[in-house]
Amino acid sequence: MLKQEFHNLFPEKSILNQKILSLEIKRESLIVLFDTINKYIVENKLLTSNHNDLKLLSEEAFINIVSYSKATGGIKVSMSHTDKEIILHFTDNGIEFDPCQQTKKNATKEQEKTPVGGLGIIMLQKLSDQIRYKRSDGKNQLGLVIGIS
Amino acid sequence: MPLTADIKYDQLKEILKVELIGSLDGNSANEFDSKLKGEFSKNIKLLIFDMKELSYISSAGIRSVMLGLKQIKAQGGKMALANRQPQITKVFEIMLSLPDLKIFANQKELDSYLNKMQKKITD
Repeated sequence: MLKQEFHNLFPEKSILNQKILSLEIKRESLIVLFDTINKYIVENKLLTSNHNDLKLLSEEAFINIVSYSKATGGIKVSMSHTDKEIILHFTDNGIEFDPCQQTKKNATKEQEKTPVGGLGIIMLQKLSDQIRYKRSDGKNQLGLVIGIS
Repeated sequence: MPLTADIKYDQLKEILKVELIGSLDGNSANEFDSKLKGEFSKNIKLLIFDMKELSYISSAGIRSVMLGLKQIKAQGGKMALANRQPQITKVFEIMLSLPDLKIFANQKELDSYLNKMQKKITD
């Protein structure tokens, strides 16, 4: 199912070694997500200077879903790559939320008043090379692409 | 990597130094916020985050730092960030300039600033 949803979001991409992960909707699952990403990078020899950015992207997307989506039944995450980029794909059944439609906010000295999700969206927009979103079958489909450099 | 926060209070200088070790992220930030909040019953003129051993920070961690800033400003103090690693600096830069922060590249700059602060206090 997730493979089909991925294809619907990124129909043009011929990907390699897709890894699919199911995570419980809780902050502690972040440890599992980081661990899986680290292993995926090593196993696929994707040694990249963007490793920290990839961790950040995965966290910001994941924590946003955990904090605000009211999703039930877990979060599905897939990792895959082409020869030029790494792709993260998140699926949840929470409330509809398209980060692509959020206004880009400049951080200001009033930043402490910005909700966590607000700062996270800034991070997603600044760090990813591409963001795609689709709502289908009552699910959020979020795709994040980051180049291998 | 979990987060360890080593907090030291200098009562004479009224400086609270928070040494962050590990990862300040969406999993560790809430617990850290609670720990830090408990320190603000003390008289603090300067809050220092020493980030020499901080390997990772996300927006949740930035928010924790901002909450620290809010608290220290409320009691008339200042905040400083010291010894940030490049990956930490990058995240702060993404959030653009933080005009109310004193940011130090290294311990030497921090020491120099603290000496000036100390002189101000004792003069």
